[in-house]
Amino acid sequence: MSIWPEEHVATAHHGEGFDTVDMTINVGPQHPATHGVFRMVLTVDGEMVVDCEPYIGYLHRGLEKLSEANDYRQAMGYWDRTDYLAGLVCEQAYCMAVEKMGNIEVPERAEYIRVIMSELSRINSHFMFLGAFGADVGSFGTSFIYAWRERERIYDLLEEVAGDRMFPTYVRPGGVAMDLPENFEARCRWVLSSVYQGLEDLDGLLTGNEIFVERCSGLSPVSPETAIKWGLTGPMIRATGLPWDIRKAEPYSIYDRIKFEIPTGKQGDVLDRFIVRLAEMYQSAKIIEQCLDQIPGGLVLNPKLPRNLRIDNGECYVRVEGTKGEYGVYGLARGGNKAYRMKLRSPSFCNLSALREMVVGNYVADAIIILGSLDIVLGEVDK
Amino acid sequence: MTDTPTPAASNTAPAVPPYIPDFGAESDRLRPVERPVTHAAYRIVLPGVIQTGADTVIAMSRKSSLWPMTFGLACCAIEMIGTFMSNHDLDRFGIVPWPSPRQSDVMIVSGTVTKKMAPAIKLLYEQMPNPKYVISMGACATNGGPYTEYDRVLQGVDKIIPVDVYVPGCPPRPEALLDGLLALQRKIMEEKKMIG
Amino acid sequence: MTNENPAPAEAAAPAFPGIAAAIHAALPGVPMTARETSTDVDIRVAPGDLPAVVEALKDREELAFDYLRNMVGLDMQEAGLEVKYHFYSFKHGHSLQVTVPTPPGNPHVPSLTPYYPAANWHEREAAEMVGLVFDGHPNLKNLLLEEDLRIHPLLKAHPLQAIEIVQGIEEGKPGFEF
Repeated sequence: MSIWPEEHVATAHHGEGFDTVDMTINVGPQHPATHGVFRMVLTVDGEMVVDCEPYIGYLHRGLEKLSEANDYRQAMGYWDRTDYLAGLVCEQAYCMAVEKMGNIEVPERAEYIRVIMSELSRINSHFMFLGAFGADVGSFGTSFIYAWRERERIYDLLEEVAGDRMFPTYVRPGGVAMDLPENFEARCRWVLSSVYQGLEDLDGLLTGNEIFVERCSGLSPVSPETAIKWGLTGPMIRATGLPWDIRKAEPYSIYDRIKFEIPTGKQGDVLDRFIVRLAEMYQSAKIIEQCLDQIPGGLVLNPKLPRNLRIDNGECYVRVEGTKGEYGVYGLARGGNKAYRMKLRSPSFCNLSALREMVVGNYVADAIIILGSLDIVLGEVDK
Repeated sequence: MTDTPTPAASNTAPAVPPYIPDFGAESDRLRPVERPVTHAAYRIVLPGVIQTGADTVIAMSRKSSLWPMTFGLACCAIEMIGTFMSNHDLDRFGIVPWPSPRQSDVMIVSGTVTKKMAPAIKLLYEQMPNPKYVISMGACATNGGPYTEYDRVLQGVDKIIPVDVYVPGCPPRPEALLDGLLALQRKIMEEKKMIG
Repeated sequence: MTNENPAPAEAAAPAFPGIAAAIHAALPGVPMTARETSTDVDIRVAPGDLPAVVEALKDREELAFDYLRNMVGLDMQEAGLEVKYHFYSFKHGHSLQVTVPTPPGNPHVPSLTPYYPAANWHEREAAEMVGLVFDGHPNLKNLLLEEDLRIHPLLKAHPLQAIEIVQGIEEGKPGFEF
């Protein structure tokens, strides 16, 4: 209810000639560096963070309640706005859940198209991370502008294929809405060549910058056991050294036919997370190129789907390698054309629950960088 | 034609008819637009010196340097950031994103407003100095958007703060937000008589 | 596409499919039933047995479920509230779903925060969304809702908000039911 922080017991430090009191700083819901409406209350002793309490829920929009009130195809409009940087990944996850519950088959061409769109969205989301993280560390607008050049090109390609830039509701239960345009392969290869160029530019701007590397290396290292304990997934756990990627560990769609590597870090610190995400973008581009080579012809939507999709009995927990980690959709269907319960297992929510562990003991400026390296998106966190 | 003119009966005009162009109804199609008689906004007195009213100068300077407070709540924030970036550049209009409410002119509310966030929005609006404007970007800020039925969502930011321009869309394209900002500039110019 | 129940075809469906057989062997005294969902194996245990089951899942070598990936709070209306947990083992690569039904009127479930710190925020969210109470949780405050609200939005009885339309509603709500 109130936006003011609650009573925090201020601890006073006596001795050594200094009597100090811990200060409470509210990194409020509106802040240029909090990646959305996220609030954390830092208790600082000088410049060192002693305690950190995150407050979320400022974007709690009722994804799960509204999925129960709308039927399966209507609810997809809510699910792709959860991870709003990569809408098509969320659409794929949700449609896979509906298909598992309803035993709906997907034609092969549609699977390839879904994978191409997902990987383009993943590249899109990671570009946003590179831009925003550079801004957090200190390059106020430069990294943003470099990143957005490529994002606009990918958005243009998505608009040509799917109809809209961010939330096209292109992926449908049973396939995709419409086929690719004729010049898609040429356009896609051109966009990928431009993506490689953009990655080179951003790499040179950030990783080649000594201040950036100095600030980020060694900051908040995480061991694999801590990551598993706290439920961290995605680039967070790959940076600790554990090569776990759902596309390889529990393969879905056609990922078992595609060769790609899993980049890992060494000690799970902020620089490792950055490098892992940067390397993943090259892998995503490789996946898209292989899909363009392997894609077959055929239908793109299951022709036997009824106009009114009813599922009598179904329960599933579908997990997908989302851009931030394990994006899970739990669905329970008990008759009718609306789901009984759909739950989002959001990677940013779980990554953020470990924030206190990672931030305590660092400086305030480093707390901002650590938050940026988690790469949270508040639509997912607050559902 | 080179014959010697024969006398008598054939002393009339030559066989080729004169060319008279016929434009038909073109004069109806290409009627010039009626331009209303307006007073000039400024008058050139000397080379490099113009004379105009103070209200025009004030309104022009307000509209040409709108500094929005970066208030991205949700998905519309991504399109708002995209409008600030070099592809749909807003800097050429003098619109520079500014994080602090104390020094910004316009608040672009982009994204869903929840009831938990509403007191913070009200506080931020009150922290902005006058003259201040509000653009409600996207369907969620206009009336709750797709999430309007959930009871933790505020059905439109105009329930708590006054809004000047509504930009529809989910999310609106960068060009649409640009249109909204230009509409705000026209509104500021229209309001110049009320500057007091 | 309707999903027919495959019950008549599988006359010899095992009582404990997949990983559930190993769990039942590890915990003979705990009454549990098992079934298969579309993606996992699901075992059903009572709330009182949950700590024993979770200790076995975590400590036993052949099970080694070290990762709590998801937790769902459900409102099953007359049947009470339910909690579903999803576990995964990095060592063996198998996954499991555990369903814990609570009787109506007594939504108490022991908390899993001593075993899996990842459960902390999941339990706070489930508590405020459907009204479950997790005994032993260190900090069961509201997470997504405001601090002082005592509503449970995901209960089926909790209503949606009315859409406020100010123009063109003379003929009734727009759209059609199909």
